[in-house]
Amino acid sequence: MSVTAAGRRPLTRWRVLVPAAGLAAIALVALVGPFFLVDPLDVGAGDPLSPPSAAHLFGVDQYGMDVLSRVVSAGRIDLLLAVSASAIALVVGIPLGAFAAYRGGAWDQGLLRVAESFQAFPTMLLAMGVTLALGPSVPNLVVVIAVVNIPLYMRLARSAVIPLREADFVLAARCAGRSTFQIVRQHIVPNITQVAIAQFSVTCAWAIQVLAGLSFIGIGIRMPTAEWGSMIRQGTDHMVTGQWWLSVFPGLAILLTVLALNQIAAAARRWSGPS
Amino acid sequence: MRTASYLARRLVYFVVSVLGVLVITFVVTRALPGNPVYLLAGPLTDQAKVDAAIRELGLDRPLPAQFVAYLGDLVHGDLGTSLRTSQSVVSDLGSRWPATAELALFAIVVAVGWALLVGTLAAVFPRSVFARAADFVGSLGVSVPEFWLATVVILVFFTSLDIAPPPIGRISGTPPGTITGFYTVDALLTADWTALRASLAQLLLPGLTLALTTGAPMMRTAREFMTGVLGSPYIRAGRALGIPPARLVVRHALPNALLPVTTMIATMFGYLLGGTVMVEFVFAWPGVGKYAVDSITASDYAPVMAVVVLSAMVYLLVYLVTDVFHLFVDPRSRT
Amino acid sequence: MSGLAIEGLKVTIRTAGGPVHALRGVDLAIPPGTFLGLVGESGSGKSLTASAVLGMLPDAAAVDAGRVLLDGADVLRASRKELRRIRGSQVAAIFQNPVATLNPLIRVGDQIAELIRIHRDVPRRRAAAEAVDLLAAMGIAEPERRARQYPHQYSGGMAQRAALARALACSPRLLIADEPTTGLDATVQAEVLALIVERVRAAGASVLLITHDLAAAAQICDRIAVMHDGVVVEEGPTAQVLTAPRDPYTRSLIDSYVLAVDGENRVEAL
Repeated sequence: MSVTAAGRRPLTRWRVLVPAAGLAAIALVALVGPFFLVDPLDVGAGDPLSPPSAAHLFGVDQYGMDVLSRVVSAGRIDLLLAVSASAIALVVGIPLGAFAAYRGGAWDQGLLRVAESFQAFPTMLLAMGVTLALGPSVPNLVVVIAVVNIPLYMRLARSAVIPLREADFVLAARCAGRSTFQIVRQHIVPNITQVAIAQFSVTCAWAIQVLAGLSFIGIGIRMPTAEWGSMIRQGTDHMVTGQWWLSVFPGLAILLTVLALNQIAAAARRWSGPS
Repeated sequence: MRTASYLARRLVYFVVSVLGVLVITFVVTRALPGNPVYLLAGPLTDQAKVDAAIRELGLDRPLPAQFVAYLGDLVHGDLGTSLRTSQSVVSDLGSRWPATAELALFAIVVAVGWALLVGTLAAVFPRSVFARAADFVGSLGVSVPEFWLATVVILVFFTSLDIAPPPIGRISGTPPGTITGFYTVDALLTADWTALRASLAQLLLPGLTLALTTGAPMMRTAREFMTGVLGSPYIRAGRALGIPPARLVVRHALPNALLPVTTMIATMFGYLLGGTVMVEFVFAWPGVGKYAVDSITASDYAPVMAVVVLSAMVYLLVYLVTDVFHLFVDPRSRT
Repeated sequence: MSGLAIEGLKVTIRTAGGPVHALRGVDLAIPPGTFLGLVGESGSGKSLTASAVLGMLPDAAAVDAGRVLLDGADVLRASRKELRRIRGSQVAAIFQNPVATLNPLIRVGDQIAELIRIHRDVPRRRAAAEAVDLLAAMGIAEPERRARQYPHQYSGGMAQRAALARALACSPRLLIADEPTTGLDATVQAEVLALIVERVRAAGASVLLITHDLAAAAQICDRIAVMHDGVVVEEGPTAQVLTAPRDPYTRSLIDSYVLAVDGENRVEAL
């Protein structure tokens, strides 16, 4: 028995490479796949509710659409949405947080309180409520996901910037007459890149899960557009009758993508040192 | 004395957060450019009907007045009416919340149990097969969508293997006499063994599915905290002085690791709220979550907003309780 | 044969960058009643040697050769059960940053009493009373009140006194003090060292003081051993080692230390 200090396995390159390669493969398939596959919205693609076969590797759904091409097409949509929403959150949140922390005082406290009150909501509920109100369109979904995550990046930036506030090189830059904006951009932002990357990966993973969840309950991406969550929802109508391919494949896609993103984040975090 | 001032501040924070939730919900339902009428009265095609609805709902009044009215409604327990059931949302929720509470409580107890046990053991034996398996299960648990897991579970255990009962709700057969509203508890209290068996059988799959997804993040955090604690100077010193390993883990390490874990319970509760909605729907569990999803499908939005607001309140309450608990249990916070 | 005797200890540590020969043949002896100071830079292997005496080498470490004899028995070959008995009752330790070496959630008195009950079959109430007495013996005022307090309520110096009380509670023959004054105020450091001398002499035990602070070693130790790069390069009576060192490394260590202490007009080289 080991009651000693952490016995973690050393970080090997494989722990990053494997999930990264997996994610790259998924992204590649999602982007390029649709060109090689049947139209995901074609209801004449095959006999409705036929199980996986040579012609339809993932089977055919209840409307006659090919499941494989839908899964791939949904991947494209989900990944694009997740990445763009996360990017917005990062691009808005980090400078905001860095600025607030650097300026300190009322700015800092005010923005912090706003961020905290946003985070007081369980995020899924917040996403649900706001999507409901704004209406489930694609731009709205992106906005919701981005907005719900901005506080996180703000606090991330803040916790990285506050110790640097009084650092020597910053004071020197100040003396040299650089503006706040320049200082933040040149000296402070590069320091948080590693943590931000790990967080970005996690945000993308979360975004995909929320997107799928919202679509599952009906306020995300609507049918007939292919989306993993809504496909699973359609599949639940047929689970007791045994048409498993309707739900299993989209879900596996979500699982693998989210898993890859989470593993990358974990590896990235370890690389930047213990938190 | 500092305890009192901390408690006071914490209560104020709670009240402020509740107000914040209410403001956000109010803004989201009524003040955003969009369709508040749509949200509160459902899809209406006729412009005259829309105008009438606007007047009736008071949407033509200035926003602050609307907010006050909104607060007034809430205080009086008026959460609107469901278009689908034609009943007040409050009464709809009233009949459905015991189902959700039973499921959620079962899931929490199992989740905390397995998360702490597995997390601690994985931390104490970090290079064992068990720890690696725990890593794997943990990664899967946080990455798997619970609505999909629920579907797969049904496909495997009911459709294929036929060892689970059909996902038709809380019980197949007559429910036990109502004392608490929890079928399992009531069956136990009334010695209705058939009902006990039937209700437990129905509760098992959805409960375990929820427990897995809700417990996974907690298990990883518990393991992390435990590993950190096991590496602390006082554990090392204790070991150097010959304190037996079992005692070190249970009497010294565990309480220190549990402190941050109790804070995690509030966060876990947040996951639980989202997950319950999904799982209830898939298992046709007649609780608040399924009610919300059914309402969405029927474009009946008042119930959904009510569920969102109430869930947020409950979450804030749980947060408050765990913080206060933390305060009383950690000697460092008292002086 | 009594006291501590380390013979030809060789330890290799598995690291990400390959095996590191951390200890390359350490020979050390502490006869009963002796105070030995083990000095050296960080990385010289001092703390690792102490860990070896406690039988607490890290999991990544492997003993290639050598013995660590505590009163004649080899610690490195002792069973786990034996080790648990030896630690605390035959050899005990105090460390740096003393507040951190006490469990923040348990009252100080209880932590001392716990050790008494583990190694000696003493009933609860008596152990608690003994704990209070020990605190008093360590020079802590109002020991009953202090015993009921938690570690975060202690100052650094006081915490080290409490840690010392706990370490000496079961009358070990050897006390290992691993950088006991690091993290303490300068004035308190001397007090703590003096206390160690007083209490350990009263118990008739020996001390292995591990430090990078030559002055501390000079203050309380009868003998000094200098470690460099995994071996003991010099060992002898304190006065001799400090005034007439034979080994060139020892000489440079002392010189640079003196420079640092002299301070103002000289460049610090340590």
